[in-house]
Amino acid sequence: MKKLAYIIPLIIFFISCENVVQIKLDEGSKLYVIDAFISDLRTDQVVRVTTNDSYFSNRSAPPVDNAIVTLVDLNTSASYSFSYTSKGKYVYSINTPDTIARLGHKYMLQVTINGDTYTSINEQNRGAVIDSIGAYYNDGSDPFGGPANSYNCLLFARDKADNNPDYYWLRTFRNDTLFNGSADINICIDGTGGAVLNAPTDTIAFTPSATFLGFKNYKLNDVCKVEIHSISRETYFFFYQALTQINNAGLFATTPENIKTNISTPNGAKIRSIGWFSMATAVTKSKVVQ
Amino acid sequence: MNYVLNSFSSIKASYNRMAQYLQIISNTAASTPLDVYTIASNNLKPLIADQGAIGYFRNFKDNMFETSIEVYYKYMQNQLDYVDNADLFINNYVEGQLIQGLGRAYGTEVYIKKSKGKLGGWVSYTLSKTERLVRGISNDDWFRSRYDRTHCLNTNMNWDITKQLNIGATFVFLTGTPATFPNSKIQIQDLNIPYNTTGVRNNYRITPYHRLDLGLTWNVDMEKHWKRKFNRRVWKRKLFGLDNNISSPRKFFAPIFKNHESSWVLSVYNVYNRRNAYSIYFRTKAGDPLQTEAVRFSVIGSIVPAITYNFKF
Repeated sequence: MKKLAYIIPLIIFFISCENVVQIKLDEGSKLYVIDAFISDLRTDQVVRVTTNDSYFSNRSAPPVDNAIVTLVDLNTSASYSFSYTSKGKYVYSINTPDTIARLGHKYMLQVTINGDTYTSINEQNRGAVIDSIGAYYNDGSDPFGGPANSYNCLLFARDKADNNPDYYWLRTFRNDTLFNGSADINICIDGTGGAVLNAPTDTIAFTPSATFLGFKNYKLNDVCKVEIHSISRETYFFFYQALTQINNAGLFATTPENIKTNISTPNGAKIRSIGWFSMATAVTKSKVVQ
Repeated sequence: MNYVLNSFSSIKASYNRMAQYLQIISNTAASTPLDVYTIASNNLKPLIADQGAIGYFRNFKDNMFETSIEVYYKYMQNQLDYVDNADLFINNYVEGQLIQGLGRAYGTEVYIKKSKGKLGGWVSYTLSKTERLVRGISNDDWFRSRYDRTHCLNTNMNWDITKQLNIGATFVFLTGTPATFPNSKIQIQDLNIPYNTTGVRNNYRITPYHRLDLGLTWNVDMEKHWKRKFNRRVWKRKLFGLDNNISSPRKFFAPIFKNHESSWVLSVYNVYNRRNAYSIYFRTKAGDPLQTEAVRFSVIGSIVPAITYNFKF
């Protein structure tokens, strides 16, 4: 044991390879960042307009409070104006029986800042169907993991099976609090690991890992809620790329690259805009853990 | 081409054209064993490199010092590079992720060597620049290649203290490897996403690499060694009143150590324990989604002492 006491610190000394370091980075030029993920859920729809910030800043993104945000239905020419609240958030409150987003319609987002109008177009795709959410007690021996003395929640949902892949973004909540860490971004194709073609049935069941509603240590009487947003292929790869860049670390880290944007900057605009606009058909269900 | 000016100086010049049908493609921040090589095909032209160099060579003090200074220029066509956001690993359609462009490298090299006397060694210094121009990458402008090293200094020194004892030292200094760093971050769906507003590839460098290694070599005189061992045994036997009719251990070992050459080497790698960066990457701090940080990744980031015994048989 005495020998081990000497050898173990020595090994750690030799193999410890990562250190947080201070690096001086130049200030990047100003960009507008548009974060617009809109769905047909009957809740407040939010578009966030901010600017980029220095990389090592530890604050929330600087807000832009003088933008005019409008969503236009290109099929019906209906227009929806978003109102500024705070922290760069522009909100459209749904107060009619109708929804803001309709299946198969194309939508244009217009964000006007200081006379320049930044635009983006996206289409509303078909959604998935949620059958139920299952919850079961985990004493720590669950083969899928999760902490002991907690409840794991599983999603039972179906995807339309044909030769057109569907792309989904699953958002999980505990007691109305969204799990929003980078590790909580759950995206999938056709509810599985990849596109399902030539399926023998009309619908197919979601499979792990899409069905894992994040083993988040649910307790008795917690509310587990899930939203399945049917997003476009481009939005799916936007998330995929964003996660790649966020988790780009270690020995096999790749050269950092700028994520794609689907926001168009008008000719002559002094400040470029980047970000993402997505329309989604969303379904939601919740369950009290019992 | 070699033009001899006199008995101690000459001018050498060279030109060569090379076609290379195998090229490395890598989008990792540092070289790894997983880097992918690809061959020229219907879609990928072979690399063609033209290189010219001219140098002046001169010896001083009866060839005790050898010196040279050279300049070179290399121009490359069909240099292979990858598009932004490329997926190179286990991709059947990897050629769709690649584009070809131009490359150029130029610089000067100075070399001094002392080859006679107890104190020997050499110093080599290179001042150079390596760039690429690939349409669709880095704003369609020349950008630093990952192999660009502005300064490269290599020194080696040997000092024969005695016939048997030798000290050696090696010092290396290299400008940091070019790397692409984000200069800002954006927030989308509460994710902190790094972003480089300039769009320039390899816009920064990791910290410079430098390292000092030391070595102490003791060449064992085997003849002397066997004699000393034999005398010790004789002396011991005398002490205990035994007869001295014994054979030298050399007789036993001589067939093994035919050349009578062996040495002990005590060496220290990275004497001043510098944690040279292998790569630098960026991440969101664990437990604090708003805070981002830079992390230096070092491979052998510590001092490494070693003892070696060499023998010829």
